[in-house]
Amino acid sequence: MPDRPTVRLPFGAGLNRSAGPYVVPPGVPRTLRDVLVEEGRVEARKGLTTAVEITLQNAGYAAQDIIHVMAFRAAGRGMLVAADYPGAGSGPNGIEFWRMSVTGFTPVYVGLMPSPTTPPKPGVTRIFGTEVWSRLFYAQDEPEIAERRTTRTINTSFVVSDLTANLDGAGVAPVKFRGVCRYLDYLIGWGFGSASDADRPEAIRVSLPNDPLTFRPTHYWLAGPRSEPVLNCVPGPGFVWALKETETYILRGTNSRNFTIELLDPRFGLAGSHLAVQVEGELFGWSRQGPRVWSGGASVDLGLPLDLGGPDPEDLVASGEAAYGWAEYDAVRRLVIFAFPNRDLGKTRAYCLSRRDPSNPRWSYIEWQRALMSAGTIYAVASGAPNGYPDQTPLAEVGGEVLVSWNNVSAAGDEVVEIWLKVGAGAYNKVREVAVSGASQSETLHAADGVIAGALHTVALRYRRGSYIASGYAGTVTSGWGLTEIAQSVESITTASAPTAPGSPSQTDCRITTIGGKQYLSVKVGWTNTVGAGTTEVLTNDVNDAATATLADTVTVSGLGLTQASGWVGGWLTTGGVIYYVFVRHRLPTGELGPAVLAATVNPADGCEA
Amino acid sequence: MTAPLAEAPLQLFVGQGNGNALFKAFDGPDDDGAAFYPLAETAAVAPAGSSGECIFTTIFLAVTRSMGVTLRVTPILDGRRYDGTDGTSDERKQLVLAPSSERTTTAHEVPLSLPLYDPVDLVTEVARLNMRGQRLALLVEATTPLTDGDLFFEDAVVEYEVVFPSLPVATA
Repeated sequence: MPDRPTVRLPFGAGLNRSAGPYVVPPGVPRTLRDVLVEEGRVEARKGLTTAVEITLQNAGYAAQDIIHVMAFRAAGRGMLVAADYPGAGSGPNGIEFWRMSVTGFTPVYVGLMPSPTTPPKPGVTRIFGTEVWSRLFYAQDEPEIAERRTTRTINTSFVVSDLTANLDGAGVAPVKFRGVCRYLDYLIGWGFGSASDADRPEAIRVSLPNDPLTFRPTHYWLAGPRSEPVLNCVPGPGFVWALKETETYILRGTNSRNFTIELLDPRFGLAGSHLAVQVEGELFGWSRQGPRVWSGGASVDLGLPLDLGGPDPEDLVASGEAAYGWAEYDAVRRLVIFAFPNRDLGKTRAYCLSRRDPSNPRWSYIEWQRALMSAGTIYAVASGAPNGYPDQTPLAEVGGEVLVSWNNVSAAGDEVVEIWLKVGAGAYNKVREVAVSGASQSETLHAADGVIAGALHTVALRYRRGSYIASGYAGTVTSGWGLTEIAQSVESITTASAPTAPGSPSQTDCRITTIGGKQYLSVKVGWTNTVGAGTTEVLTNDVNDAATATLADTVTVSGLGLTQASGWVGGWLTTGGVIYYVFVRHRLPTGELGPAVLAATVNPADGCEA
Repeated sequence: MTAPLAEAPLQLFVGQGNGNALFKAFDGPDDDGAAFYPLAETAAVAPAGSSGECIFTTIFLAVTRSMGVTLRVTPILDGRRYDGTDGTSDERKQLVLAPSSERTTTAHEVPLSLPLYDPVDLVTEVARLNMRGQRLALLVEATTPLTDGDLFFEDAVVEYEVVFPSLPVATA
């Protein structure tokens, strides 16, 4: 009989919801949710883990929104902006700047945006931030000039100050840009004219080169009519895209004598001010008609496969307003992400464009189970030797394994902890590297790491940042690293020579099987693990002697303190007149056996009712 | 011991709304403790064309994973999900995948059939017949929370037999 024909359904083709059912290539997915598109396949996405939680001004008021995240490269730090609103307790009702390590830990309050006449608005207040010439600049993305805060700047010492300029000849005054970005070594700011003509939504100002604190009154562009504000300016290679809601301009030039502006795209702009991101020289933006890409000329539609005008995929979380969405590029996963947080539901719908093959971008959906208001990439750059050290607490043996615990002393948060293990009088071997995380951590060393029963184990820890190792820790550890504080990074323990017996052994189940008119009885036994790894052996004998018992079942230990049961053992003839004994014992991964204990005494003649 | 990229020089962080957490994106098996369930639904295939009919016999699903997870495969015949609702029989199949210490690729055979009921009592299943229709699609979804490790939906293959092909369309 000939083989039947087959048709392939590869998952990695990316979404196509718009084409008719008889014309799409076989296997093009109709829905891909919470997966990332790869070559010919999709991968289940990973989740979200909390790096820090912000308590405003360290005064006990939880921030209401994290509204901006970015790197501060000149300072080797990450930065975030947190907001708090009226009615959310008695917090400061403000917008605060926080710095943190490049791994997102150890947040430190830096300062705030000055109080305006009105407080920030839940789910609405947004921030633009950029770094120019070793300074950060933050502008509040607020369309109403009366409610907009003064643009703030932060230097590498984390001193916060107002951005000021004399833009109308009447003296130096605070600048209130709606947004800021970096172009070459200029600071570009938009949405502000001057102190006497502040509300200029179409104006785009540029600083002096290499001097982002100085603005000349005549150094500006006007992007189209005043009635439609500039929403975002995104630097590209040798130019800047200036995006409004329904049109896009391009700013070119390298200095004030050759700066030009021209209308690039008369139809499309951005549906929300943060819905644009530049990737490898192209601008990916979400227009009022959906996603588009600007590659130098007018934009090109990317949204056809999403069929945004059609019905949404079944059960996909409701999108938040487009005006408050954001776009970001994940360089590790080659993903352009357009996210639309639904603050009421506490979830986020995101459209993810995989650029693993830039010539064939492919879509999938993400449904984050949290409302996400902002995103940013922080760059971990090795910037010198660590200053701190891991302070070990005494080692503990847990079920034949070694539990290593330590406190992180003076860690910046971007270090790696190296774990070195020496067994007996042998040499140290590096067995593990883990990222510094929080104030204290622990790791369990297993047989695979070299842990054996009945031996002295010495564990030494040190910090490393990139190729930098803290002073005194360099080279290979011998007997610790020799200094006083480093001695705190070394601990020893002698492991027990054999595991202890399983706890609470007992019979847990019984059955009788009839085969050929004869009845056979089998039982299960249970116990509580007193080891964290290895196996539990179940033995049977017709005399009460574990030493001569026969192995009947082996169960992998599921964890210390957990209760487990064997499979069926026995199959003893109920008319045999023999009493059987069932024993259990632990065996460590290293092979060491513990004592066997009696779990059940079985007389098959009694049946299961006994 | 570790890949040169292990220290993740580019980490995407996302800021919470209606909350005060900064999250590491694409990290961990759940969203800050809330489970999510990956899902893929293919477009329908119609090997016999828009007016033809096929017998669909088997789906072969290839999955790579290191995590332990349960997947559910639901056949969608001519636009109807056979999940036991809306007058359909429940033809969903569970695939229980055990965790593995390394990425492991496995192929799973999912037979496609529908029940034939006793004509008298209408509830007793007396036989099963392969699915027959014009278009078949496939829904694959995780039904248990993800755990540490990886999960990939690699490929699916549908085995079929054309009962009769599409009729040629007369043109002027």
